[in-house]
Amino acid sequence: MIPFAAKAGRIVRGMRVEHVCGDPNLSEENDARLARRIVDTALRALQTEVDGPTVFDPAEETASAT
Amino acid sequence: MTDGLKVVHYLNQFFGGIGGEEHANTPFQVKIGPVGPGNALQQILGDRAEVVATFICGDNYFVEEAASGARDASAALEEIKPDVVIAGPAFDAGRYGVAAAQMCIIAKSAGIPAVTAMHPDNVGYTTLRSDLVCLPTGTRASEMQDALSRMADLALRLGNGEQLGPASKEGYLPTGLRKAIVREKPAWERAIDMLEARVADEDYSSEVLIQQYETVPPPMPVADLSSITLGLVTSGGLVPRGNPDRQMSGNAQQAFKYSIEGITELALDEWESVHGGFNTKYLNTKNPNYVLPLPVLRQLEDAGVIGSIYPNFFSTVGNGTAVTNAKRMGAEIAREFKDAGVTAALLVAT
Amino acid sequence: MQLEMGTFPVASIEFAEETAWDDGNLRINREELLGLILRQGDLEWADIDITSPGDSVRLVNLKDLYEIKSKVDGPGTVYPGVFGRSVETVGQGRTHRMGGVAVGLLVDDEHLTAGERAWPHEGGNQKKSEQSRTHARFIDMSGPGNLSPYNSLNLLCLTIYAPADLNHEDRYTALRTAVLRVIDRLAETIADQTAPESEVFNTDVENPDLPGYVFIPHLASGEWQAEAGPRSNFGAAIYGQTRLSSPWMLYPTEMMDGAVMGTYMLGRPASWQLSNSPIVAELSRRHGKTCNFLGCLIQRTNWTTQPEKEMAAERAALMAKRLGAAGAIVTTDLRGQRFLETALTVQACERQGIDTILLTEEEDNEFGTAPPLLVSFPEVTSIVSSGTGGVEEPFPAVERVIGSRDPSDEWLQELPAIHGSYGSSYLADYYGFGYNSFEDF
Repeated sequence: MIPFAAKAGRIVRGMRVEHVCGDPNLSEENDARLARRIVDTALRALQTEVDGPTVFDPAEETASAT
Repeated sequence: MTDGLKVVHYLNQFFGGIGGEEHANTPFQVKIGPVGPGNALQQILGDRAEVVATFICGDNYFVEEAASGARDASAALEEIKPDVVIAGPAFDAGRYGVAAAQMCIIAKSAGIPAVTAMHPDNVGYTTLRSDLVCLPTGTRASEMQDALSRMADLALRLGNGEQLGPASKEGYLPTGLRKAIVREKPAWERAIDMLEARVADEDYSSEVLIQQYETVPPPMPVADLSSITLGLVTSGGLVPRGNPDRQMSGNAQQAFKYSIEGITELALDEWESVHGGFNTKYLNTKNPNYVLPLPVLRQLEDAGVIGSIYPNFFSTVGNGTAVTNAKRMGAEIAREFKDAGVTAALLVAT
Repeated sequence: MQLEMGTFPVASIEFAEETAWDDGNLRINREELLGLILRQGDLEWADIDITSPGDSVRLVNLKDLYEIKSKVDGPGTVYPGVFGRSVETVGQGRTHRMGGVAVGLLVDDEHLTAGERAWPHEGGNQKKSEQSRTHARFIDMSGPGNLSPYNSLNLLCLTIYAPADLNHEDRYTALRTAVLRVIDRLAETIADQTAPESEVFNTDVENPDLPGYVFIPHLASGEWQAEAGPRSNFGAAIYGQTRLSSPWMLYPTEMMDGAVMGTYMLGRPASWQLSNSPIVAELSRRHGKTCNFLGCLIQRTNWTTQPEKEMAAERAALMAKRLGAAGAIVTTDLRGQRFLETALTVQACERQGIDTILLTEEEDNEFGTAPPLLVSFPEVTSIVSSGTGGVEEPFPAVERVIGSRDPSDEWLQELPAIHGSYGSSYLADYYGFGYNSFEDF
């Protein structure tokens, strides 16, 4: 919400404030996979044209290659 | 001749009687006495003040030839020495609004108070408001008489050396500056009064007007990730263990630059977070990469998905950070990225 | 629910042979009260001081402020649920309170690390880094720093030396149970007397046509942020519950009985303010006349994910709507993401058609370059500002410092003005007692 209010153009939804790019409650393997999915979402956002503040959700990310 | 104040009135080419859009490049000129709407202004002022001169300038000229327009205006002010300058009203004409605002700023820096008027959405107000005494108007020139009348009131007071009270009381548009005041009723009572007013559909004044942060148009997307250098920034407060640069856990003044050259992940025993706004336990006892996902980024770099990762990352603390400092830090980071050919960046915010 | 509140005004406090309230004068047997405090074996040193508005006194290390009261009739105990006290619902029967006075808990914790003072968790960073707001850790009893409500309260100050060898939870408990022992003892002195002032509060709905109002204070929870855990005593509590939860609906009289008390860890004194909220009192008085005061929705903040924040806001708004609210007054108790959550509640209420007033501090204006609120939603239209928690003039030198076993001389000196950057802990006015505000120029 804050980045939205501050009008950042491309916003990727992370996990929690305390661990934005991952989840320590997951197994190491799943934690790494989650981090990968979040970063993939960020890269997708960088390649997407936007008109104004836009939220990109890793939950919508399909399985990435490798 | 009157014993009253000396007023200079600024008008654009249209209200100055020269012509329309095709005359927007009319250079700065000075006419003796009031012109066009200046006559109505003089009537309103009566013998309290005299419109001794009218500055007329094409909107394009004053804005595009800003340096020479300013020079001419300053010289004219120097010669005439008015007590106050009235610019416009510009209503919703954007370039006129900017020109009128600039005229006021020029006057102000010459020590002469100035007042203008335009629609609150006029870019002259929205971009230059911090230095203006600007009254709100609608969009139509049919409101001229009302606008001139309100401008005259404030101009007389300013010309007489008066300090104006708050925006809501005096009727001018907020400059962005807020000052401490003591109100007559305690806040709890004002809250109940405001609630009753709203529920009864009566007028009320919010003590804070919602303001928007400035909008930055999003840049064009990256065409080819595999050819770019990606810059990394975090506001999660990452610092080398021991915090050698003494980053503050709140109200940070600086972003620090740290090298990640040749590093594939931030090691737990080498990094920590000093962010004071959330529980940093996971970062400090498990994995600092949660606020800078370096391992994943390195994998993607190795696989050729990303061209390369910029060898330094920037770290600050987003906790009670003053907006002015945040803006400055952002500009400094952007400048370094730009100079280094970094064309996209990832900011992990907490 | 009906509560009769009997008030025993206190115009003066003095040390004496016996502890008693008598016609506006509160007498304190110092040894007796010190004995009550030090009964807890881990507390090795304490002191008691008296001060009144106008005194050349500076209070340091003030952690919380409490009302002296007890239930004399009806179920439950005041300050229910905390530290093992009964959770029986309060807000009914008769309560006796002392007016014009509060008990201050001042904890000399200068010998503890920054982390031990503020944050209970081990892995956090606050042990190591400096907090930049130490300059704000005082309240003056005269001069520009003597802000509401401290300018209208006689204070009985309990200064306790923080026990260093306890864990955070035990230390917090030891200190606050000591205060409650003193409060319970003082309240005994008025339990059997006839109250000079008495008022009946009843918010049962008799006239359904009047507009319904709710009060929605936001209280930060220490559960996640400070890792205090769901069972911790730490921080603001509702019937002793400190954990993150959906909003609790309370009757106004429950708040008057101290059902909501405590304060987030950095010590923004709040217990007295929560028991004496003038919004709660005034809306209760207007109930049945110009409005129906439908209740107090106690909202928790410090959720750490966006969906949780949005849900909490929506549930509070739906609860208000279901109660029949046409209007709401919302308050907050901390900056940062907790303010964001407060703004989300306002937004959610407005979207339900509830006219909502936000009473809040504002951010430092940074000489016209920064917006007054951290976040702005178009629905948040009606705001009462209680200022920035700053004081624009210097604080004059004082003769006496209360709150430290061995006060440093620097506290006696004139202190610089506090510009309201990110607020000043002690001077924060979240419940609207004061007259300070800001205005657009």
